[in-house]
Amino acid sequence: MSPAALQAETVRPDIAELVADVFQYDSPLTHTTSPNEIERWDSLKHIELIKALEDDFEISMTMDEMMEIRCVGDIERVLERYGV
Amino acid sequence: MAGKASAATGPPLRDGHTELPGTTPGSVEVLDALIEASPVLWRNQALLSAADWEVASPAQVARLLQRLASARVKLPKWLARTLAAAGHVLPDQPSQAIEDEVRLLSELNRDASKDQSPVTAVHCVETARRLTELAACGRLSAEIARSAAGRLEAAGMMEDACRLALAAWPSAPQALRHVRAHLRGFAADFPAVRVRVAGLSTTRPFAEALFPAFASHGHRIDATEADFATVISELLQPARSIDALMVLLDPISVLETSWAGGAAEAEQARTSRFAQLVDGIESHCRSSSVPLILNTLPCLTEPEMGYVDASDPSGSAATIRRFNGMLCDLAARYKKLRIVDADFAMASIAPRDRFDRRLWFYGRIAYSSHANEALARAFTSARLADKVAPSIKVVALDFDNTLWGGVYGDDGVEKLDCGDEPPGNAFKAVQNECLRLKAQGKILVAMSKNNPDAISVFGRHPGMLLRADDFTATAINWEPKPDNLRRLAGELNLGLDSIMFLDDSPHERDAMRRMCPEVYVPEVPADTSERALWLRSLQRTWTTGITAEDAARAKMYAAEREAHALREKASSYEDYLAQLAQVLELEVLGHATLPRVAQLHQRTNQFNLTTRRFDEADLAAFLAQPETARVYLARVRDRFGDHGITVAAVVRLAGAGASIESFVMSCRVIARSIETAFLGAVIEDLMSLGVDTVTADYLPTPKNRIVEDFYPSHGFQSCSTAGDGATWIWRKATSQVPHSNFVNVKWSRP
Repeated sequence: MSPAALQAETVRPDIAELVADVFQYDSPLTHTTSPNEIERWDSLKHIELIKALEDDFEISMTMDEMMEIRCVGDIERVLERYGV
Repeated sequence: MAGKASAATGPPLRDGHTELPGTTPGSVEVLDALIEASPVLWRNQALLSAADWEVASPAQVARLLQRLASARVKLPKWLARTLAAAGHVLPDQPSQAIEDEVRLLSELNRDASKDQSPVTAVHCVETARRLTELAACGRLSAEIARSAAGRLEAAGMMEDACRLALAAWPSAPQALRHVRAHLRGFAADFPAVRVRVAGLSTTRPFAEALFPAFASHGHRIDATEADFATVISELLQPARSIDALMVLLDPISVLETSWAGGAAEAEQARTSRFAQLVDGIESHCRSSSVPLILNTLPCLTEPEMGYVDASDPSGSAATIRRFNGMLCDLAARYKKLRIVDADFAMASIAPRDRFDRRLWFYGRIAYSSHANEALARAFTSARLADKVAPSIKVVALDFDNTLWGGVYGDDGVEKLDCGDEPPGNAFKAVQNECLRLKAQGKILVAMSKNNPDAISVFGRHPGMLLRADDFTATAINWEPKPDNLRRLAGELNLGLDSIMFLDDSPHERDAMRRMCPEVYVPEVPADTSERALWLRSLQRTWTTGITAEDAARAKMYAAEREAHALREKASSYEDYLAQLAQVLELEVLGHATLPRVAQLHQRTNQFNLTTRRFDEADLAAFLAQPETARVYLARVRDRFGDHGITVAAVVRLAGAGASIESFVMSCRVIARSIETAFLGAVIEDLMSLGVDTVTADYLPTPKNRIVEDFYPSHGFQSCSTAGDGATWIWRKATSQVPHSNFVNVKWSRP
């Protein structure tokens, strides 16, 4: 596996910490972790997640981006767009 | 601090000449380079505080401080704050002026850990308590609050973390995230309040914010949510076993209408929704005993009718005004309806930030999360206002630089600032607010370190609004203020927790907080122009309605002090009571006396046998069922004046048995045998209804020890004890009817 691919397997630690905090979820996270695994990740908790991301990374997402986030990997992709 | 971490490697470092080549994001090398350059960089706050100091080692922090010191640069306040928030320990050097909150956090960083020794644990709890105190009076910054809550949580000090995060919540909502998982456990033993939540939009974010709001008042909310947008059917449901129904209203859904059918149809749709809501509210108020709390509509930020939005009847601003007017008319008619003013509740949030359009389209959530939290706090205070912290009855006022600008002892009367010109007009405005508080039933007392002649300033300076006789009592001397305040509280027969102390000096405030922790000591704004309006924002002084007694209270306390003087002169206590010529005028509760009797139940702490805080809605329910309950009240008059309604009791009736559910008496008339006369008159009335056995509870609190022996000393026999409390019983066959020789009892039947 190339170093880049290896790196892609691990979730950014700051995002992992935030996700674990918001959903009170202790198991390890991968990029494909989604509401399928995280039971608490319902539509209202999703709003809390967005709020936490906006507070911590000092960004403001659009509604489309809110809806685009369907798994942990999506979070990284959206944040990358903001350069944070 | 994740945002900061990445910001450190973001634009600032890659910009032109500040670029540091060969570094990886957030690495120690970046920090090393910054530390090395700190004597030059220290003025660049944006650059230094953007670095990820959380990953710095203690050695790096020590080197930073040493680099700055050797360049003779004083550690900047913001850098101290950044380091402490990142978890570092700051040196304990008296030469460095470090802010209170930063020093306390630094101590936590040093001491708080999972395996702390018992001695350190005690110290940590104390540090957490002081941080919480700062948070409670709004002096803890969001950054420090969040970091401290996280530190306590990591050290396993969950209760302390919860207390701190709750106290800081209004200004630092993020601090709560650290403790969210522990909040339910923290509040598990708090008294529960059952609340039903309904609204025209999604209410869950609001309902969730109610939990911390109730927890910060020492209560645990047990909330159930109505199905989506079923507010009308909720209002029409008959009585249920809940303690309150909260209806969250928002301008988006209340005003929502379709323009497809033209203007007339759009208007028609709104009008019929308003009518439905008003009908629902009215029918709830008429048929249910459950208190109903709802909010006014806050202003919208985009007009529907352009330039004429405020004046055209179908404009959104005009419509909101009309709707709010209807709500307030209803509140004037129905006691169990309480209105939360949404614009006041969300005053610290810019109108546009009160709504989150994304959430509206995503999940029909009208308000932004900050707005939902602010509303949840306001609904909670509206529900609990009279059940928790006792309301303020006395305002103790400092003179110099509080009621006027300047120092009387140094400057003399002429030079003091108070009048129509700045800066004196700010002090005049403060005096006017003090007069407002007095008009609303608070007692003003003077509390100044001055020679006693300082009171003459009010008569001699032309700009003063207050007069010497506006003060019911004075302590103008050089004694410590806490000693003076204790003495005055004794003379006025009032608890310290009903006193608010206003002083511009942080030193005097701290001394008062330390020596008299029960006294309410708010942080007076340093900017004098802030103070007058700030006085209106102090919730502990808010009233739930002005009664005739409020308006006359200052006079009554003056009479109380005259009576105090008579007692000094009288040859014996009996002689004094006889000279007082007391008259007790009894009656049964009616609608007119309901507010005052509710107020007595809420305010009285000392002469209160059960501390059951019956409110207006509870009393209205008793009034509606005369066959099962009777509420007695009485006015007291003596040679010095009318004390108004000062004693009341709620009695439940069941055939030949009766039980006294509450017995409250204002401390103004304590120790005058009034309680004996009242109890006797109540028992006589009960006997005329066929009652032969009366049971009564004494439920102890830290404040009502003075009535511990009230029932046994009035012919009641012990019936049972449970915990600290006791139930007493009076039997017609074996007990005497209590009687007082010093009180003339009269009945007035409405």
